[in-house]
Amino acid sequence: MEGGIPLNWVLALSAILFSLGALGVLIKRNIIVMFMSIELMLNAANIALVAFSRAHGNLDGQIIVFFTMTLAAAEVAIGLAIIVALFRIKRTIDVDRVTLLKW
Amino acid sequence: MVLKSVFILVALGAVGGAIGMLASSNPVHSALFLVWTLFCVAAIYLLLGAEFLAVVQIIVYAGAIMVLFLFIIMLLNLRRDEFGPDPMPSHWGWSLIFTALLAVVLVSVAGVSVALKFPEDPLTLTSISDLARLIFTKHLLAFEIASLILLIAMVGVVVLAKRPKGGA
Repeated sequence: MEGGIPLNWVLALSAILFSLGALGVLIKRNIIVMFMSIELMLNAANIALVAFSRAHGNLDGQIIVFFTMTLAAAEVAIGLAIIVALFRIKRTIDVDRVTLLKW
Repeated sequence: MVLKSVFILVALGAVGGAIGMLASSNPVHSALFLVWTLFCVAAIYLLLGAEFLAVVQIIVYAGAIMVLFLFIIMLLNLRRDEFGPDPMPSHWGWSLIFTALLAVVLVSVAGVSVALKFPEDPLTLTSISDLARLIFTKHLLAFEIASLILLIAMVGVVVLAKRPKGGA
């Protein structure tokens, strides 16, 4: 069948999205946007899991993605609560000004 | 052919949204670009036949999680000088080089793994009942642990966001 999507393309898209997420964590100083970049990296990994799940004809990969989404929801709630607490103490969300644990 | 073209369009949309998220200096714009990218990812799940995950992606990610992000951005109501310099000038080049190398390595790995192929029939959707049967039999323990983690997260958020006693 000529019409199907090659597995490589999906994996390449996943790789590119993951790299863009890593770039976001590195170049952004706004902690909320860094957090969004982490979400992007999680999504890139999820795409690869769904692609392999389909290639193997095995649903376990999709179930891992389902649990990853559950954990991402919990992680975002906790992370944003930490950001709010941080903002209350420091009045900033610039990570370069939050250096208490840096030697 | 049609599927391939649709995939390329959606993939370009996702990558464009991600680049827009990194390029915009306003966090609200970043969040909206990320919502667009997450919608594109949901479309890719649909193209891969994972229709339940596509729906969950839209409801949970594009709906709940991104609304939470936007809510916090607007709740903090930051002034311009509280964003910080953006993007950071000092190690900008190194970050770009590192990311380019990472992308080259990952994409070439993706290009090499050709032994696996998608099944021939395009667009066979996953049946939700098969998914549910697996979750409630083989992965039941993981399901219970996930519910526990959500409970802990809920309690944790309340504890973290509560004002300390006697404070303002």
